[in-house]
Order: sequence, then structure tokens, then C-alpha cells
Amino acid sequence: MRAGDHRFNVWERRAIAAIFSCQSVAIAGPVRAAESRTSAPPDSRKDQTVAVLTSNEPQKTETSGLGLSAGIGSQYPYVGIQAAYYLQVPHSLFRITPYAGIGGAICTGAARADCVVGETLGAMVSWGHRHRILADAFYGPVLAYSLSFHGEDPKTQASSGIGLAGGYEYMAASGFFLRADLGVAYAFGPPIKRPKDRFAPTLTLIGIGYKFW
Amino acid sequence: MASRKRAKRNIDSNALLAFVVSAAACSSECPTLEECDIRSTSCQRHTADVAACLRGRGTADPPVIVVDAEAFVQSQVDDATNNPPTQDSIDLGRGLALFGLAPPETDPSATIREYWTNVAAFFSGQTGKVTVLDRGAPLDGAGAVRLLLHELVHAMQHRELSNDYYDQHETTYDDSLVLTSLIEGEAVLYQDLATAFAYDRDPSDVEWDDIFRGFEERQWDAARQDDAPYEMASLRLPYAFGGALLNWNWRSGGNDAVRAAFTHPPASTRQLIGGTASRGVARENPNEVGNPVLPSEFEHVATRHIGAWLFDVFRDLWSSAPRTFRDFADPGFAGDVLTIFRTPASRGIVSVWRLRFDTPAKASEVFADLRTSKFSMDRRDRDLIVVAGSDGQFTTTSIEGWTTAPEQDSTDQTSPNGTGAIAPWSCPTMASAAHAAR
Repeated sequence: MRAGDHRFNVWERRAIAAIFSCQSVAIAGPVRAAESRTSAPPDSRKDQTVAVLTSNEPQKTETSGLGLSAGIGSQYPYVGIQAAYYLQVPHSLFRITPYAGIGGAICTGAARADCVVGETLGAMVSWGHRHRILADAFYGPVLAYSLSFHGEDPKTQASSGIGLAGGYEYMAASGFFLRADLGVAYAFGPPIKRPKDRFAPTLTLIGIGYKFW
Repeated sequence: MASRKRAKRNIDSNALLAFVVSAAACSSECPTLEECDIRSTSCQRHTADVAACLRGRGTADPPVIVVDAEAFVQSQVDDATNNPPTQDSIDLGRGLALFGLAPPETDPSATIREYWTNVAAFFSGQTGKVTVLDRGAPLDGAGAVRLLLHELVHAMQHRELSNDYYDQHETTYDDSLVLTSLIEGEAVLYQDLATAFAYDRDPSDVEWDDIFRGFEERQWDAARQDDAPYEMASLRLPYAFGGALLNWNWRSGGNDAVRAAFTHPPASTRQLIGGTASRGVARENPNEVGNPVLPSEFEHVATRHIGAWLFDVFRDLWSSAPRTFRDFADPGFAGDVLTIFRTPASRGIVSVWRLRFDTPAKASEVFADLRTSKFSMDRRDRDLIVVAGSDGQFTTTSIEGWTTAPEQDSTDQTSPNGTGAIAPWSCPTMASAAHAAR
């Protein structure tokens, strides 16, 4: 979907104008985005100026497309990479972003214990243009433990579970983005842990990436 | 063989169903251990159910008490102080000390402290209770419930094994170590299985051979660092080597193979140390010539058949080239008779140890290895005679002859320092048992 096909409602246009324009705007009616700066609507009044986008190309902040990132935290788990596909909701600042991440450094800190690799699948819903608030739901490793039977080096295992988090994402027009979120997760194991003891905080400390289109 | 399949988790749109399946672990055959306060009866009941299911039989509901560890240890020391050992026990210790198998001093408190420092909990057949020594660790954590399961297995064993069984299979010190190894080995086995399932580990995926090999190596080394190897043997050998044996049995033939170990126990600690390669090796104590005849001023104190474990410790303590467990090769030790004498007049002690090997060559090897030690030694065919005296004057030439030694150990099984170390129904769990860290 091209940016030119996106139609902002009146509230969105006013918000955009307030954020990016220093000029007062009076909008007589629906204005098509991305119109040429060199021509004014035939029925525009000369004493009015209209805030228009400065480029004919749709911004990556408004398109559906693939983003790759690297980061630290539960989306990456816990130091890793991620592929996310932004599905832009037409005529809206909403988007749904399913993602898949893989990472290592799932460690417990126990002496002589190893670290393991994990994968995370999830989806974010975000609202905003460049500055966005997001809600994140995911399935992946949320708990790690190291076990030694008789004094040998402990083996680390991760327990998977589900998590919910809220956070923030910034995406520049160029497609560069960064994000962070914080929430709570519930592990499905290990069986020895009581259900009430399986809740754990979840944190994506930072994810930095680039949206290709 | 008990087995358990991992619950499979789906990540499709039925995430809730996957959650329920995973949380319930509905594919297991036995209930799994759960963290709970081991002082509560519901926790004890559930843990007993886990143990019984894994064993395929058994019930137990012993009282569980938690005591302050330091206070308990001190009470044991006080008890020993108030009930001093008999002269025979003291002289038995002095005789063992000549070979480095007991501390040279007669004060039992240090030995008692060393012993109980390594104990996390124990089941007493005399009181029927499980006692947990509280050293500050959480009583509702994973470590506590695993400890409880271990002791509940002992409680089940107590109901199943009769006193006749002990009378039949516990006639010598070496026999006692073997029996203790079976008892502790079974408890270690089911503790390990319960732990594996509780942490979502399939036992068939666990590298048990490597784990027990390392465990055995560490206990082998620790035994050579102990001040009282004779006392500490009941902690060093049974968990690592008995655990390895019963674990191997279980992997080979399930619970039936574990039961078979009790029906046909190993003949000696030599079979435990040697592993599968030594399973069929017989024990041969040189009883027919085991009792040395000494001059009349020497008074008999005790006769013991202390076996391969302590022989190997002794050898490494005095060898010019002590072995690690990695270096261990069966030295061909077949059996022994240790006799201790005293001279009332001078309060001297003499220890005469007759060791038998599979072949004369094996005896010669050990003879050569110990030649630089302080002992007086003599080799006769497959036998090696090692003599030590507190005054340093007694030699093998002082022995006037040899007569038949009793097949059973001579005294009442009391250990030199009164710890009752070979009391099978005081079944402790080592404080360094399995642990998990978050």
C-alpha cells in the first residue's frame, strides 16, 4: 500500500500538522496527503496555507514492511536478533507486528553453568506515527534454571511461557527504529515450581533495527 | 523401565490448550515433585506418593522433624562426651590410626563434627522419624523436597527389609559398607529420577555415566583427605558408588533390576569400586590363616574385615605414587583380616593386617608400592602381611604363627569414635547432594 493511498482522518491530519508544522492551518475539507507542493487545490483560498508532506514517497513509518533488529531482552531472548513484519492498518496509526526472535545468553549465573539458546514468537500492536506506544504478547523462554545432580557442572534449561508487556517504539522516517518494553510473563514449567511461583518480570531492554520498506 | 514423555507445546492458535497441557504435565506416569513446606503433612504425603510411584511399591508416613543443625551436632558431641567409648573402641581406633585410617587422637568430638557436617538429614529406624538438619536453607524449596524424598525412600526400605536380612548380609565391616551402599544407592536413584522429572529432564537424556564418574572421583579424592577414613567411609562410598550401581541397574532393567541388587548384593566393596568390570569378582578373606598368634603379653582387641575401599585408601595414603580414580585399575585385592592387639602393661597397640590378592604377582605389586612406607611387611604367596606398632618395634617376625580367624567381625560394630557409622537404619543424606540454581 503506498503512502499516497493512505487517507488520514481529520484528527490525524490536525495532529500531524501540530507536530510538524509551525504554520497555522485551516482545512476547508478533506485534503489528500502527499500532494505536490507546487500546486494548491483549485478551491483553496490564497490566504490559507496547507501543511503538506514534503515527499511523494510514502514514509516507512506508514507502510507495511519487514524490519530486522538486534537487541537485549525477552524479544531477543536474551541477546539476539529479530525479524518483524509491520502490518499497517489502513487510514490509521495502528499497526500489528508479528515477530520471531532468536538469541543466546539465557543464563542463570550459577557457577560453571552453561547458557542456552532460545526462540521467541510474538506480536505487537502499536499506535503512533514515529513515537509509538506498543503492547506486546509473546511465547518464548521466560525462566531459566541450572541443575546439577551430584556436583557436576550445572546444565541450564529454559522454561517457555507467555508474556505480556507494554512499551515504546521510535521509528524514523528512514526506517531506523528502536524499542523497549516491560511486562510480566508466566512460565509453563518446570513442574517442580508451584504455579504461583512461575510469574516473572519480562523486559526488552533495547531493540535497535531497520525497517527495509 | 519407567519413562516419561515430554509434554509437547503447540504454538498455534490453541495456546490456551497448550498452556493447560503443559501446566498439568498430563503425559507423566508418576506425579512430580513440587516445592512445598516439608513440615506439612500434605507435602510429605505428596512426596511419598512420588517416591512410591517411582519405586513401583512402598508406603511411608514417618514423622518429619526439623532441628537446628549446629545444636544437633553439638548434642551428638555432648552425647559422645557423656558416653565415652569403651577401651576396646579406643584401642580399635588407635589400631586403625597406625594405618592412617583413623585420627591418632582419641577425642571423638572432631570426628563426630566432621561426620555430621556432611549430613543434611537422616531417617532413624530406631525412632521411625526423619530428621532434617536446618542450616538455613528454605524448607519449602526444591532442595528440601528432594531431601525429603530421599529419606522417605529409606522409610520405605525400613518397612521392607527385615532384621534377618541385616543379620545375613552384614557380618563384616565390608559387608556393612556394601549394604549401606545399596540402601543409599536406591535412595539416590529415586531422588535423581524424581529430580529429573521435576525439572522436565527425560532420564534417558541425562548423562548418568559421566555424572556418577565425576561423583565417584570427588568422593575418592575426599576419602584420601579425611582425617577418619574408617568413619567417613559410610559417607564417601555409598552415595557415589552405590548410586552408580543402582542407577546402572535401573537403566538396564528397571525397578526389577534394582530389587535384584538387594536379593543378590555385591559380594564386596571391590565390586562397587570396579564397576561393571568387577561385578562377578568373588571375595576371599584369608580367614583360614587370618588370626596371628602373638606372644602372651599381647591381648586381642578386635578383628575386622575392612575390605577393598579402605585398602585402596590405605594404599594411596602410603604409596609412592597415589592414584586418582581416573588412574584406578583393580589391584586384585580379594579380601583381608585386620587384627588389633594391645599390651596392657605398656598400653601399646599392634595392628596386623593380612591382605589377599588374586595372584602372587598382584601381591608383589602392592608390596613394591608400599616398600618405602614405615610398615613392616612380608609376602606369602598371594598374601601380603602388613604390621604396625605404636612403639615401632613390632615386626612381622614377631608373629609366632597363624590360626583361623572368625568369618564375622569380632566386636559389636561400634565404631571407634561412637558415631555408629555403620548403622544402616541411620540413613543420612549428604549435605552436598544435588542442587539447582535459578
